[in-house]
Amino acid sequence: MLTYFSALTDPNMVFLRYALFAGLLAAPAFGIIGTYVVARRMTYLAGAIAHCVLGGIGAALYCQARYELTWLTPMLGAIVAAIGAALLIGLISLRSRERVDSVIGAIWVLGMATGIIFIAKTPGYIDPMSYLFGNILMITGGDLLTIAVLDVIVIGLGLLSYNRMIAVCFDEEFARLRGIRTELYTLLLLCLTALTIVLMVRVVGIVMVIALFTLPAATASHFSTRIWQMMLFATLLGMISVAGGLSLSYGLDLPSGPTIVMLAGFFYLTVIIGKGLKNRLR
Amino acid sequence: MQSPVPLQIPAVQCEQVSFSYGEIPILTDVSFSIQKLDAVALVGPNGGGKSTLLKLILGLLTPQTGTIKVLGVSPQQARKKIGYMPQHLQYDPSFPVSVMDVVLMGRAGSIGLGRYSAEDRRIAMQAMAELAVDGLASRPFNSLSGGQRQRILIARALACEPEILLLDEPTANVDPGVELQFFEILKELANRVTVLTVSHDLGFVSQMVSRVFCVNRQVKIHPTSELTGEIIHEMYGGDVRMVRHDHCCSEQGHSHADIL
Repeated sequence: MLTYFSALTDPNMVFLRYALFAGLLAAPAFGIIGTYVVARRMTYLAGAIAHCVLGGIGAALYCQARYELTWLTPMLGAIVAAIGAALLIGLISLRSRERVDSVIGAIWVLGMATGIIFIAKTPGYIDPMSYLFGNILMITGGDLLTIAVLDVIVIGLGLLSYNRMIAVCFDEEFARLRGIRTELYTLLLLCLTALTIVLMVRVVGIVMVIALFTLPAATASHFSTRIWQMMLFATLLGMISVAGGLSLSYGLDLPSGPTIVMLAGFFYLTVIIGKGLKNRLR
Repeated sequence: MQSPVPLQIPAVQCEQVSFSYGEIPILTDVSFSIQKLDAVALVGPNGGGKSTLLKLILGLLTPQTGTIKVLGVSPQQARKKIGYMPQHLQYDPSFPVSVMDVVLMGRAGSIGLGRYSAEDRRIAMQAMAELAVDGLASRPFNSLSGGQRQRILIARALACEPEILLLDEPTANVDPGVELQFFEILKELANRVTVLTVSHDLGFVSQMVSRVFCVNRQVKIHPTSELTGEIIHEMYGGDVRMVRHDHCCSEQGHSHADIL
């Protein structure tokens, strides 16, 4: 543990500090938006958005290498792909007469396949693993700035729309009858979900990012009787998972993304099992 | 809140309204008019079109033919003046909200991106007080009994400060003892807002409404003025037989003496 703290201040270990900052910055966004997503039962949609991000990252890497578009960073590609996927998925789930889950499943897979193909065709060697499962070595100072800006946008909009978002999540039909444009709020929520996913793609990767959405919020829901409590507890759990997970991964020499997710999952399972035992003993 | 609508403008007016889901006709050629402060009960068999009729009045569905006017304008335009209590809340029992949060949703249309004002809270508390559930305000919504929840949802509809109240099966989850108390409250409300209530139990509703609409693809109108609930109950036994009998009647309704 001590070595972890000294590593945090070690100038040669700047990536570790960056990863911790990124995680702590992202935790409130995950707590707030994750609570809405869990309460609205949109986890599946969030999963689809997360996997489409790989398409954007792949396309950005390809264009960077092929056409020397240096401004087109993987982060920018991720943001564009995430927002695009969010709007597409939102409009389909609101409008389509197809089976919505089939369409979402198709987008999920196609987004990911696009990314893999682009990465394979990009000159030079790029390890898709680091995008799929996260790699804290890749975080740059510029990424941290982007994360901070996105964070402010997501938290600001998430809290500003709090009352109306709850009304829409709780009873959409009633909210519509009150003159609230519920479709707009659904799309807003999906876009905020998309931006939140981008925040943590670097740290835990696109496959596991969804865990940070659902696990802290689902754990928090067991202690909360109000939405804002759930957001607060989910944020704290997210921070503990990131800080604890990084420390464990450093100490035990484990990959950091999976360790963070395991810790979040451990809290969740402990709470459910604990609750189950408590009910049985009664 | 709003300027009062002159009495001559009906609260709800349906003219030759027909609605079908795909090939299946639900309502055919329905015409009626409900005056302000009228109290009406909709009865009829399941699938007869009661809930569909409410959704048409709310503007959630659009009729294929015919027109519906609510307070003289289209249902969409009148929406904010309608308080609605749905029959089924597509409700997630693990959704962490307090009773106050739920009732405040009746005010959600007027807050923009902001917060609820003290005035919104006052109106919500008053709505709860009217249904004698103000003591529950800080309780988690999912800890309530079915009957308490039903009342909260009516309070939520009242918090909209409606001119028209649409209640879809307000007594569905309520035990008989509480039901009586329930209709006392509704009777009170009917003095200041137009009330449309869907109900299975004609015996009860006939004490608070002036007319009964039998909805089964068509709408037949019965005034209850000459009848006590007991007599109707005796006559029909239940609402299914109630709509099966054969008669023709005007839009104004008819007296049951005609058909006996």
